[in-house]
Amino acid sequence: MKPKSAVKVIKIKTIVLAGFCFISCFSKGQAIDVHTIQNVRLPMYLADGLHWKGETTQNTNWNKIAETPNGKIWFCGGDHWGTDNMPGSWKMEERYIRPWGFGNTAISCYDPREDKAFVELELNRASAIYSNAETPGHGKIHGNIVSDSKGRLYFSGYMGSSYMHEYTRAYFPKSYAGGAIIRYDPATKDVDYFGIPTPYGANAAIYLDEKRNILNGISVDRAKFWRVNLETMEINRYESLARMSRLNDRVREMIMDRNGYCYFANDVGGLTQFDPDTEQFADIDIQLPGKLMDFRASAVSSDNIIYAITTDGFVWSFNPQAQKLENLGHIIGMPEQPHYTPNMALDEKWGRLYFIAGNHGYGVNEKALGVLTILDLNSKKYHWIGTIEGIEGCFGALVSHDHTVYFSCYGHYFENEKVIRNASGKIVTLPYLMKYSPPENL
Amino acid sequence: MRKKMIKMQSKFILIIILFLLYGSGSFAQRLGKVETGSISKILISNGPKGPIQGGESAVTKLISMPDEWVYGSTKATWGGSNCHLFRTNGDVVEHLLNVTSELPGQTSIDDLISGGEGILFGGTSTYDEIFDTENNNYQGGHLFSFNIRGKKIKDLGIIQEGQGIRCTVLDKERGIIYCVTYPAGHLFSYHLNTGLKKDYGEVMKPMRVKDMGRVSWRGVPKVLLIDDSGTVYYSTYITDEIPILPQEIMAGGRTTYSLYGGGRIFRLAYGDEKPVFTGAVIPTQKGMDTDPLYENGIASAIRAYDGGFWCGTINDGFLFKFHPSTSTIINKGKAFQYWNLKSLCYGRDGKLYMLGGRDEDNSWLLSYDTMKGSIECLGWLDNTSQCSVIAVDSKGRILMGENLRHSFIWVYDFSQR
Repeated sequence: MKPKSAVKVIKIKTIVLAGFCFISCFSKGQAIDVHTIQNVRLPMYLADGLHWKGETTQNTNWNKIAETPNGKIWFCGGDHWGTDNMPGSWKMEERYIRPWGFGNTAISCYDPREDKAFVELELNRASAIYSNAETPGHGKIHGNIVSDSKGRLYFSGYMGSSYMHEYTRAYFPKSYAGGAIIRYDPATKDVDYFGIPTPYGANAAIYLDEKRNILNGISVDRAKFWRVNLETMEINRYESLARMSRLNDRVREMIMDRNGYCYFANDVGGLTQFDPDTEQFADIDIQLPGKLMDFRASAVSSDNIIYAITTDGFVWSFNPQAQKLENLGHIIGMPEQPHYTPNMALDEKWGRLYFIAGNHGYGVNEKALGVLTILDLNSKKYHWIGTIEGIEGCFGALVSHDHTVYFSCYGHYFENEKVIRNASGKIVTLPYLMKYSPPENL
Repeated sequence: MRKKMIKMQSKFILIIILFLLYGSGSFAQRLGKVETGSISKILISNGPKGPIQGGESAVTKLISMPDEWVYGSTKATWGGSNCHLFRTNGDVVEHLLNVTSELPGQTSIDDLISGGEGILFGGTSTYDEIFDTENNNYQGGHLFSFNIRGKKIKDLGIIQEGQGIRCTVLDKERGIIYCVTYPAGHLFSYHLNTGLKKDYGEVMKPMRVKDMGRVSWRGVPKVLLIDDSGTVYYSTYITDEIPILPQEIMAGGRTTYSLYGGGRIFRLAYGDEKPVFTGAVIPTQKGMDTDPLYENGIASAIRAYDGGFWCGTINDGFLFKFHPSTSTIINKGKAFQYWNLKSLCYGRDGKLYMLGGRDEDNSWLLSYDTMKGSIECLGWLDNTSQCSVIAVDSKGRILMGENLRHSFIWVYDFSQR
């Protein structure tokens, strides 16, 4: 029999524990109710271009998007029509007939004043790649479309299955030439070509360090970190820093903060920081939340606070100055349920993060796919606005200067309340920009 | 009710099929991965709290010792400060010693060899960037011994002032360690009993290369071989003068081209004062032995049971056998399209296991059946695994050490093939 004092201690401990559980439930226990969530349809703007036999061949996009200082939004599609896929109603052999061969990407611009989107340029043409059966073109952009302060855009290509050749070299030189870096000035239509930082490999992320005139990026499957000095054309390649071995070939992200420091999720559950001046790496002594302890999308505030979401759906923030990490909870309030959400947009003035929660590609709650989600950073409360109709995937998001939120998506496309079908009457998957005008008060 | 159940069952089966299709699709896309046996991994890095921190876990050597442990050495990379000794049995990794704390200024254990009797010998070095800095204060790489029972290190001293130690080999009979310094490329001997060292001079004029922002020196021998008579072998470059065609000679200009021919095997017999060319040239694709873009030499070597040496080449990744008694080269070819066959070990099944691929690329596991004469590519371990060395553990599993900031020991158990 336990002495009375021991029983008392146990009772107190139990009460304290229950209290913590209660507080925890109260503060982070909010979870989505998939039975009551409504469907919503948002305005869509097609990433058009690359027409073949009267239809656009673009069916995907996996890229981040950008707003230029004039308020235009830059996004793209991707025909994904290379070595690994053959979308639409065409025959495989038609890859050899099309003028652009295997794989191409058209970049579009949305002008909010006209409320219209326009096709601006083709990536294969801009990077002078003669896509053909042995050397495919850029089937999509997998990384960022980035704008500098002058409104010039930077982007780089990707080809599905390029990694196979990147690994094996088995088909060399029958392989994707590699993700070429392009700078495009919409004002003059001038294209500058900066070469291929990872030959035969694609790029999964690029970030411009404008102060140093350096472009930072990572390759796709080897997760190699590289950077190119845009003035001297020097290239530095580092090791596979962006790999994070808890994930099986899903590392697609790096972060760059306002000071040009880069961050990678590492194998010990924290962040590895790259110093752009000393070119040295250091591990930050933190543990990221969730089982995967990584990030799949991120945004950085003007006062240099990093916001990110893990591949399994945990939202966190990190203050590099104070070295302080904050767990902002799970995207649908179900910590045991991974919910792959590879997009995020930050509205600093209104103190919000926007997501389209739930994309196929990793663990997901099927009943909560494509949910427009807002995290109020002041109250730390999640608002699940509704399930967006038509959406299959969303990888790019931003908040424009007027608080409008843009998402770069692919899925079913609605025009005049009707879903678009191809010539044979089948519903097709198309890439598009989606616009959300949020209320000021939630 | 039954209809509803059948409908639910169909839905369930459809979901399972979709799941399997999705899964098989994503794996099928990553062609080349090792599919047989089982693969597991053990993290060497302990993270920011150490003792082996991030940037200090890049494995340089793995040595199987009679106490059933495999001993490993590391180097610091990209801002890391310390190099370490550790050991693994294929299930756990144990930290043994922070070598930098014992030998200040040394950030890399470039080579580690077995001295028998529970003794390891190692050679240290530092960052290439330090060698490339004028008036740097690096004093020079140390030879050291490490007693695996007492876990004690003994400093055998600096071999060449301001130079690291690239590779070592032990003449057990005579108690002599031979080593090559880096980047100077001098061959030295060190007598364990007397502590006397001898410089045999420059065996390679190193080629300074700046590639992707990193400086290194090519051509310096990566491996030393020693036969039973105590003769030491290594591969290096020689300069050839090729006559220029008369019609191409410019007035007052040169009459010959200088060509740097790599992969030439030299030897230093015990008692000799100067190494001599054996006449043997490592296998190379015709014309590529003088190509300045490639490094031509021996990347790895292990004694064969017949007294020869199995060797792997840097440039092409060929497996070949070198018979020292006759200076014969037998090329066994290659089983992958990559290059740099950088580490070799024997498996318990009698096969030779090989690690291939450039240092910065995903590495490939290959095997050679010495009985059948058949070479096989088993695949790569993971899309980002970059291993530098291979060894066999006491259970017969193949261990591979990575050279990354947070490195793993990859464990391949082929008994489950």
